[in-house]
Amino acid sequence: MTSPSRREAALLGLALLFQIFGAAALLLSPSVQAGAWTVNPPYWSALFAMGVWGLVAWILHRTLDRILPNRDPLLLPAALFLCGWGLQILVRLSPETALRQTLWLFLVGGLLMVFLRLPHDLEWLRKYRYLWLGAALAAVAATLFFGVGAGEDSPRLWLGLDGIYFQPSEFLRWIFPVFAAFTLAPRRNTGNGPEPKDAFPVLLFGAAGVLLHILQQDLGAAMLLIAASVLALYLAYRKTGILLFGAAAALAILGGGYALSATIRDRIATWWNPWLDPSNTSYQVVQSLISVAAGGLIGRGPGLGAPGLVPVAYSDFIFSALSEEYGVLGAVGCLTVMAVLVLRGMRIAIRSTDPAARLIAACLSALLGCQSILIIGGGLRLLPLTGVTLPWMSYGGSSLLGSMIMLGFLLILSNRAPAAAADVRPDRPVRVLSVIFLLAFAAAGVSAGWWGIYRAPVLRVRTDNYRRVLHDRRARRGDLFDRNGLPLAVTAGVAGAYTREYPGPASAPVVGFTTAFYGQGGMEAALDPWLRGEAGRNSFDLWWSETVLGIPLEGKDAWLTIDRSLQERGSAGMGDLAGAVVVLRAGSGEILALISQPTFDPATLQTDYELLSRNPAAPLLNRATQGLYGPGRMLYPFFAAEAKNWNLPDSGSDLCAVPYTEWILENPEFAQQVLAQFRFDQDPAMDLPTANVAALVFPADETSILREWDGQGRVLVSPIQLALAFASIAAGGMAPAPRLIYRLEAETGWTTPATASHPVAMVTAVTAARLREILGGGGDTAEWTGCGGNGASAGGISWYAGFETAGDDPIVVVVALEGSPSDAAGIGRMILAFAAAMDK
Amino acid sequence: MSVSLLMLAARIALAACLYAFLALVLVTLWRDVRAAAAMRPAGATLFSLRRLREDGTPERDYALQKDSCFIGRSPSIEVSLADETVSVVHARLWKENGRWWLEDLDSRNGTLLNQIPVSKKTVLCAGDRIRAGRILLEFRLEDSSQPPIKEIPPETDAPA
Repeated sequence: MTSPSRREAALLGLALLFQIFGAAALLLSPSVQAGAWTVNPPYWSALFAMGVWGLVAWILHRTLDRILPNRDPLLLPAALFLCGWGLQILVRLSPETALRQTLWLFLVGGLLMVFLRLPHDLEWLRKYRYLWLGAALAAVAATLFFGVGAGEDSPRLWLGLDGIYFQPSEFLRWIFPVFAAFTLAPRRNTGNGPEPKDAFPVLLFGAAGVLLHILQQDLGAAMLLIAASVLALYLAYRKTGILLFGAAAALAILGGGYALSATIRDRIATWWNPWLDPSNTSYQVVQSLISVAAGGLIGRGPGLGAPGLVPVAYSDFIFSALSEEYGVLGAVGCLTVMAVLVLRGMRIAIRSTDPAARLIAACLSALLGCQSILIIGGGLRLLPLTGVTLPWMSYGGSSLLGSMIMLGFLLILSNRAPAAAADVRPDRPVRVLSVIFLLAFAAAGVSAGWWGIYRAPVLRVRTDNYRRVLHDRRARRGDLFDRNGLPLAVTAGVAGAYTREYPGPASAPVVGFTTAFYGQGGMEAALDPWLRGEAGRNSFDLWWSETVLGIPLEGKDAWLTIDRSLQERGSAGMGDLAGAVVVLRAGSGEILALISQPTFDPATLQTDYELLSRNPAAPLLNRATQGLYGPGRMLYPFFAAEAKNWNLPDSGSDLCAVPYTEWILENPEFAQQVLAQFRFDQDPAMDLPTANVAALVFPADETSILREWDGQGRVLVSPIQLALAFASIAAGGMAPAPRLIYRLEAETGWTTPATASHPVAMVTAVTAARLREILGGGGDTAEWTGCGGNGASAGGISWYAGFETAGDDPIVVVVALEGSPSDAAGIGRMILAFAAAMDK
Repeated sequence: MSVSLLMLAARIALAACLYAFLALVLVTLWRDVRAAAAMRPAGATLFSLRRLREDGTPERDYALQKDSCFIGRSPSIEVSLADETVSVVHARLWKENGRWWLEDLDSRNGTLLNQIPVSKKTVLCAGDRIRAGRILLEFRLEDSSQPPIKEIPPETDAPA
């Protein structure tokens, strides 16, 4: 069997390797993010931390070999492993903090050596236990008068001495259980356990300490002190009832705190449902969970995540930072190391022959377990948040010193336990506690998996996950161009500081926007997977480069069917008028322009959003696809086209002279049939959001029908619907599927994706030809104008629809101007002429 | 790309170190459990009292085969010690709830456990030293690998 000393050396060697590779990964991380060799100078402190860690580990190992040859070989490596891991994370979070913590480690290592050289019978502690406890309590009390806090309103927990701060509660944390152990353990094992009166000093001083902590508003320390009292009494008296009573008391105190303290109420409320107020009271917890989710199974890699987004990540939420960068796998590993430490402490208790040693070992290891579970559970929403440090890992000198002294006790007592004396005495309390802590650590592991894997997809896409913003600054988003290659939305700047620019503001209704906090709109939203570079790649490839290698995805460009100059020309032609213009090709369905006024400037949307979204003129609404207007007279050509199928008399070439009202009164289904025929009762499926067409019912009584012809009725259509219906006339009966994407950059050149819908046959080719004849009088261009209404609201609509069939693919223009009378026809003709001229 | 692969290698090495560390820890835990199980004799755990000379060398083993044994000068009891400083029935050892207990039976010269007088019943642990009169006894786990010391060394004192 390997000697304990060599086993310890082997474990420390592995821990050192972990330190070395961790520092290497941290130093590489800026280069991975930049895609080229770069160095983040503060990360060099990782090497310093590693060096000091190695030195402390080596010296402690050598010292222990000399003075504690029979110690438990797992304790020191496990504690130092956690300590080194904590330093790695601190370097990453805040190099300056890490530097201070490294110096603390050096100092604490020295103090531990001093402690280990004190007499191992611990008589100096037993004899003067009231003195030690009194001193610790006095120091805690002193913070009430001379304490300094981290901020103006934060609890004043520190005593300062010439720039060196320490937290007296960290001393009480281990002095109190040692005091309780010596008080409760009889000097000789009489087998009877302590007398009932022995509990008195423990309860008295325990209550005093808890009271002090409550006055200090240090909820975490108070909870730990309560736990220490309950654990010591339970272990000493071996009565399960004490443990149950302790749990009940803790719940009662929480209940009382809920009623009395706003802080505790917040903590409990945010634990119960953090999603109610994620930007305020439960900000920390939600950010912590998002951080765990960002890590996933294997983590982002050291230096590659963004754990700094969680408040006080270096102390309370260091475990979330660990989960983000080392993944659920790392988190489970870390929990295992902690569980091993606690269980080995329990083993020392079981093997102890001295009742005081048994109490100290069990109590201190249980407390270390409690503290770890409290803060890890708090960050994983397993428990309400209590501000305690994570032993060995969190930033804090006094905390590190306290944890190391506790380790020192365990080392001394493990050395004392007679190796040959196989345990024969059943020790139920210690076994019960071991099982409880094993289950608690397992629950924390399951919880990390729950948030980091199972719930991660939901958490990662939350808008308060600011990692998306950081990601977009690093990863180049693909550019959007118009059909001629003119830029519409481009990524500018250098890696790490990318910004989005919009050179053609007139195209905003189509291009949309992408913002950090208000989401995305328009084609920026529709093409997001392409522009981010995710679409068109297989999922393994994505996982490999994004998750495993941590390379930001290179975005891909996309060309839209719109023509930037046509957009600009049309927009200029409309002037200040509100309304919409649709220009599309009747054959291919390619949309050449989609104008909506008033509109927004995507470049300043981030600052203007609140104002724009409250503006009654609805500039964020795309009127061309989402605007619904009363069509009025614009429906005449479609009724006329369908008349033949209903055996209605041919009314000749004057569309206005047709007795539509009589027709509809005689054939109530006629109007409904026409609306369905030309798809006015359906959303035209396309890449931009369209108006949600409610059940369209054409009225059957004369008054209502007459209102419909004025555009003041119930029937509402969007400009894009009307444009598609007119396109069917221009293109010989087939309405095209609207298309906005011209081509997309793919792995193998360019591709054109399928449209969201299919072309629809609306009328026969003969009917279409006849209608074209009537509307256009035999020429290449045809048009139809009308007045409509804006639904029930005031203000009319001026409509224009026209098409040009001279080219290979007819061009259709539909204009809807709000606030009649206005010259929709003039603007429409101008746009049609401009579009037709571009064809030649 | 090369940087990313280096990073990946470092991360794999990091995970390997973590889990190798844990594996070694678990192996140690397992071995400790095995060692503890091996040390425990099969069936009931047997204890014995070893009479020691003043210099600490073993003199004789008394196996504690019954669940209740007496220490005293009387020749008919389990741990019979022929010494005038030992009372006829000096102390009692018995097993209760899986533990061995010691109790002084109002002996004239008293019983010391690890140099502390035994005033009430007390749990015994392996390695405890019991002093009855001037005789020193060690409460010990029976070691199956070594035969118990049976023979009584030649005594100079003539029997009474």
